[in-house]
Amino acid sequence: METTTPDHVLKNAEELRWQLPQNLHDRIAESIYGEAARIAAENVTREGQTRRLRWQQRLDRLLTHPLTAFPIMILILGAVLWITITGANVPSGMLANLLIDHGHPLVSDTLTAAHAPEWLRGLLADGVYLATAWVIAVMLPPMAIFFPCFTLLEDFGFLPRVAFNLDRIFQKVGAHGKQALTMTMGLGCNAAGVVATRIIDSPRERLIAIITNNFSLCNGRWPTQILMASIFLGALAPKAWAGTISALAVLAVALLGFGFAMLTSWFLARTVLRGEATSFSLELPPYRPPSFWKTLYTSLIDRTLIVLWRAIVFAAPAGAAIWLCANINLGDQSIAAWFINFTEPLAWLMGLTGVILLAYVVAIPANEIVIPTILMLTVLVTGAGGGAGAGVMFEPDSTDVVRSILHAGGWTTLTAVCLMLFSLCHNPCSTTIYTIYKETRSWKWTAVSTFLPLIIGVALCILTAAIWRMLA
Amino acid sequence: MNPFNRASASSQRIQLEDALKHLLDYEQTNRGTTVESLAGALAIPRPDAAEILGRLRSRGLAKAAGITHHLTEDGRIYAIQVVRTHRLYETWLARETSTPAEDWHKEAHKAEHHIGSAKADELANLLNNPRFDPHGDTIPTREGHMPKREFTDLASWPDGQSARIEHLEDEPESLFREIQTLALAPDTLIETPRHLEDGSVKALIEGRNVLIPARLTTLIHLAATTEDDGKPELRRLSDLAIGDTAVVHALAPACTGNERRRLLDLGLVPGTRITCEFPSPFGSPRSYMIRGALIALRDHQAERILIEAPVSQSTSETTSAQ
Repeated sequence: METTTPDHVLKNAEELRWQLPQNLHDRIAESIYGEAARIAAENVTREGQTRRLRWQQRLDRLLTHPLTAFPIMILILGAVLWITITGANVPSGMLANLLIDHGHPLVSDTLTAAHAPEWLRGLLADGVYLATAWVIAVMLPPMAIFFPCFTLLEDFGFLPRVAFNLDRIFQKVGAHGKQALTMTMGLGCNAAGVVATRIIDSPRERLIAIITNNFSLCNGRWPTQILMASIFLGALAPKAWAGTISALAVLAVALLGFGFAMLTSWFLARTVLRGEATSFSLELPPYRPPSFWKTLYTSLIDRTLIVLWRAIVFAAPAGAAIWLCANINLGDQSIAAWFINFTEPLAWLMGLTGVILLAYVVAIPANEIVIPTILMLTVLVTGAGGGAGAGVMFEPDSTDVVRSILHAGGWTTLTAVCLMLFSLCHNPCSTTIYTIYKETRSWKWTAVSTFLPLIIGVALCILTAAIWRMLA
Repeated sequence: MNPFNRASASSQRIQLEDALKHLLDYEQTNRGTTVESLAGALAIPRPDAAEILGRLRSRGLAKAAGITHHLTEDGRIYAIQVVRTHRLYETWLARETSTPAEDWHKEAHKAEHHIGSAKADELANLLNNPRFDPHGDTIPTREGHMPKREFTDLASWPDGQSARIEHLEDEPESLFREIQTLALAPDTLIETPRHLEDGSVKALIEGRNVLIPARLTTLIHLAATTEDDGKPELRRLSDLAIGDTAVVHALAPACTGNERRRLLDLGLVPGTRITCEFPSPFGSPRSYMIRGALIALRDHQAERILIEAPVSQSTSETTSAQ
């Protein structure tokens, strides 16, 4: 090393380079972090309590204790459902009375008075207006109750504890711990849940979370579940227990959805999306009393109205489509009747009816309009509901009327159970599908997310119907 | 070894490149490549191996000396380029993706034939010109420099003398998976190793007594520890009892890439006081108080965080780690 020409220096450096410890970069980075922390600790004074408060510790112990954690979680989810179901009945009836009993004749008469041709009156009043009015009446009250309840729980700090408690299951199936959070978000809206998966850094685990998000019952599907449970399952129990039984049935479907999400995640993490579980850290924020009115306001504006608006935007054209389906004849039958007759054999196998399958095709834009569509189509096919015109629904202001229409459509308890299952497991709505494409930028994964739940749903319904018919 | 259609031109190139790697491997270990050794390494019939060597000769990449074959200068440059791509790709998989460790080799083996040298240089830039791949193999530099290194494996390492892991053999895959489950990585310290009668080795690794089965001992290559390895008594965060407090000493070498960055970002840096608060109903994850925030970590991660007993301070802290 006597000579110091540039070449020698470079050669020397090249040789010394290999003698440094292997993880030199990591060690340097670590000591920089450590030094920064030391400087901060010397120069920053902190005020206030750093130890956790006693009541917070006690509450954490209760909410994460092996014996109490899960009963409490299920109890709270069940309570939210029960409040939503029982609380939504009265305002729903009032809205239906206002928008349909009084609003529909008004719109219809106005159009007639304006000398609109009969087909235009039918399309606008019986198609577009009625579908939209129905969506508002069916959806607004449960959403206005469900979303604020959820936001309150989130603000209080309960949801992160749910993710904490459930994490071991996510570990076992090879999914990311934060998937618990995106799944609870999916309980509100799957499109929102899919966007929320951005909190997961690893692309592999994020894809799993995206594909399985559809198994979280979204807000558009809660009304279907709730209506089916209260008309067909609650009715099996004595009147005093009807509400509880319905809530339990809906809860069971929601938990089944969780089970399917875990099963699918497990399957994906062991086949096409194999990989290491990446590190995850979940902050458990201190409990704080939620600011009630602020939460109510923001969840109404940010969630309820946005989701409702989306539903209306999709319901109006769907209403037109339903009316056209029902009123354009090909040969001796309407388009709707053709489709319904054609799919009836498959529908029977699945324990459903052709009307339901058609409703799910029409309702791809939004799950919210499934029930209104089913009612309209049932009226069309059976002529029930007071001799109204094709594709028109009258006086759906109480569950009694809905019940009589559905019974006229040949529905049984099996139909309701299979509809609840199919509502849980079918393709996501078009907004969610589009969101999945935007988030993954892959047609392949979008297709998987779309068809995987549909295939599971069809299989599940066929299996359920077969077993039911065997036992009955 | 080769799942591709033998007739296609790209599969021919893949075979040539694999043969070059074999020649380079034997050159590094001062052995001469023969038709038999190549046939064994690529799992192909001997006539095929002989034909490949013929093709290498005709393209000026290898030359024959008696029954053995050696790389020409051109052949060596080519082979080193393929090895460089392979190891860079493995490093990238380990640091930036969540590909399971046992798949690194397989994936890199596929990628090395498709990634050109320009792309490999890009990869090197992205990774800050790493010197070692995740197994501890040296990554050849842009100029093709790759020092030879000599290791002693754990099987022949003297009892009682602490060592540092320098290199891990990544084949066979199933055994490498076992090494991974023991969380051994290059730079991991193996303290006071002791050979047992059945050939397995018992050692203190990151505060835990670990039994390394005999079948793994020849795959683990060691070097003597340097002086700066003198450490206080270490434990792993996952072994901290609930309610106890400790101080972070360092993150384990097995914790790399994104995982390491995330833990550092959380404030898990040397000197941070950390208290284990409460477990989840299933035991893992557990929640820890770190710098005033309650953070849940899975045991799998907490194992990678090395802690020491806190230096007693004149605070109201009554709990101690020991």
